[in-house]
Amino acid sequence: MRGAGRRWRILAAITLVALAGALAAATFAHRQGGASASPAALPGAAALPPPASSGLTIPEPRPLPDPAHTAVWAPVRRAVTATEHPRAASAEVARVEERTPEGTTNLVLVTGRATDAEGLAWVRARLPAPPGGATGWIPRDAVGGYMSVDTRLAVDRAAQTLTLTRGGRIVMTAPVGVGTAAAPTPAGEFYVRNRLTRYRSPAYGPIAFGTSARSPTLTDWPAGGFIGIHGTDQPRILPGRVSHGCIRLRNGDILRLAGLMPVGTPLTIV
Amino acid sequence: MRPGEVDLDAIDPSGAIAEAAHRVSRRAFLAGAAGAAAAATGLPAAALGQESHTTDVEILNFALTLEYLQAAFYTEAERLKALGTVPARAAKRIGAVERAHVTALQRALGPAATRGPLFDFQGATEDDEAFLRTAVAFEDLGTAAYKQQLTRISTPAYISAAASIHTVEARHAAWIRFIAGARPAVDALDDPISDGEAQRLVAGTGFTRPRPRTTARTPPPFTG
Amino acid sequence: MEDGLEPRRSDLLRGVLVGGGALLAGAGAVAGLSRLAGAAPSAEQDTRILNVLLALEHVQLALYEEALDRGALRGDLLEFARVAREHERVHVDTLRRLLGANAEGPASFDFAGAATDPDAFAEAAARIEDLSVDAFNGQVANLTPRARAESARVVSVDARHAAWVRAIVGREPAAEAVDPGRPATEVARVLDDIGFVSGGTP
Repeated sequence: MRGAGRRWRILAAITLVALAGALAAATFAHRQGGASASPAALPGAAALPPPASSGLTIPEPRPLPDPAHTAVWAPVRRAVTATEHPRAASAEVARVEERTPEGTTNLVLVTGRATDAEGLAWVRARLPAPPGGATGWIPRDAVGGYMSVDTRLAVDRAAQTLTLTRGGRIVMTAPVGVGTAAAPTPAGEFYVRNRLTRYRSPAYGPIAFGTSARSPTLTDWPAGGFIGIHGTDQPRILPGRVSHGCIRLRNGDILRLAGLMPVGTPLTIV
Repeated sequence: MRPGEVDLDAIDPSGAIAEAAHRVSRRAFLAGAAGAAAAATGLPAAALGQESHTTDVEILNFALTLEYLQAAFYTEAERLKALGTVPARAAKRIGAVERAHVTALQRALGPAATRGPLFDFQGATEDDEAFLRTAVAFEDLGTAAYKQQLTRISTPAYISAAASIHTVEARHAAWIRFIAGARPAVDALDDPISDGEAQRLVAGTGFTRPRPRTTARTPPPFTG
Repeated sequence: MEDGLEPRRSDLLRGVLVGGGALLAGAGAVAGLSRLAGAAPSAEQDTRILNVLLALEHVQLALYEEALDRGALRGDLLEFARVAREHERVHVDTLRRLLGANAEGPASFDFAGAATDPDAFAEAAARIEDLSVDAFNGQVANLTPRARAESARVVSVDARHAAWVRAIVGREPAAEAVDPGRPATEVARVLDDIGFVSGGTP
């Protein structure tokens, strides 16, 4: 009887050890989040279906591109007189109309901002004014929402070339006709103000751009005597000093320019 | 910012937001059944997705319109460099995310993507207090709008997508409120907002503008 | 402020070529594949999903209650815990109401240092609030519209909590552009690793 009892005790002990081991193993697997065991923390998790895949691919957030080549323009909301300093009691520089002579919304290039003593916001604007362009201050609420461009246009009167850059890189060059000595293209800092299309005037080609530049000599010209950038029906005389101040391109070139250059692009003429 | 009776054309002259929201809410109204379901569950009709005939394209285009608004706002704030350090940093980080949202929605919608209205923030991007006040409103609005979208979209893949942006907007809302000194989470439960109400809120800011007319058909009057 | 260039035709076409415009192409067939067979919304599935969400809200509520009991929090973190606790009570009630008789009770929790050390508390709060977002965003398309709408109202506030507590301790409140959602088993694994749940639901 004693032998059988001892055997039972040994058997019981072995069983207990085995059970303890199994329990320990189960607990350990449990804590490790064992793949086969249902997780303790969220018992229902294993029974849930997988997520539906998303129909949107959201790219990595990226910082803004380098502002060095960005210019800002704004549409004019109401006619106003630009002043020399950002305060009401300041010398007048030029009148800024709500519309251009062509009927489009007038624009200004915005080159700075300030707040006056009364807390009113002002912007410094490049204006259409002879002879070389002008800068003046206008109240912030006289212009609308800011628009940005990263293109720049440069016209070299001596070389009779036009160069368009985007983000600082040259994207287009073309030979141009510029003004004669009697009706020169002015030098200075300007900007492209509007785009005219679908008119019938072969001398201007298929598309024309209005600028803020004005003829220094043709001061009685109707509609203000503004300088345009446009096509031509006389491509063979380009490049040359051939125009009344406008910058003329061959029609293929003006169409190419139109596909690359938005209104508001700053224009430098040397 | 809740407007009273206002002339919609006067405050949303671009019409873009009204257009996007109108298509969504008008169809929901016509569906009719949403109203009956609302009565049964106690949930606002706008929150229920079933029975609405609005297309996913229209819903996502409205989401895109709100993303345009936010992206344009933060981008301009960053470019103008007129804010203090802490708001400027939030504008930079949040702006990059909102621009990514715009890209994602534009890609998904392809040629159907709305072009979006033009914005004139009239100084709200140039002054800390105005910026924070506006940003709080925009992020709370975005959170509520996406919450609305994710219950109305019918395609599972786009439900997932809307949800994955919805909680990011909620985080932004808490972040910008924290900076502004407001409680980041006021209510225990956030409410959705109907597209019509969202459109009214945005229109009430006066930030949407018609695109300036910079093209004309007249013969050039230049010197030649 | 926006760029003045009109989107060029080539840009629009590119969007289509890389799979954009799927919505126009009648995404039904494609999208149907993205919700796997057997995952279609149903009342039974709602119950399973909502109980997972409820379990996470229980963890959050318990953490805030214990941390407030221990009295170790000060200033902004103290205010956060007070407000968040009230919110989580409503979250638990909301999900229990949706689940009715099927609502599961809370597990038992052991927060150790997360309830007594402010830094550990903030870290824990951010992580477990994130888990609600992960779980919900992973299941959102598998819920019926009503369950989806109600739980979205809860999870939206959880996401605010996560950003709030990060802002308090000077961490980036919203680092990612998207919260993609995780499979529930992954959420469970993370919760296990955190180690707060010390016992199953009685």
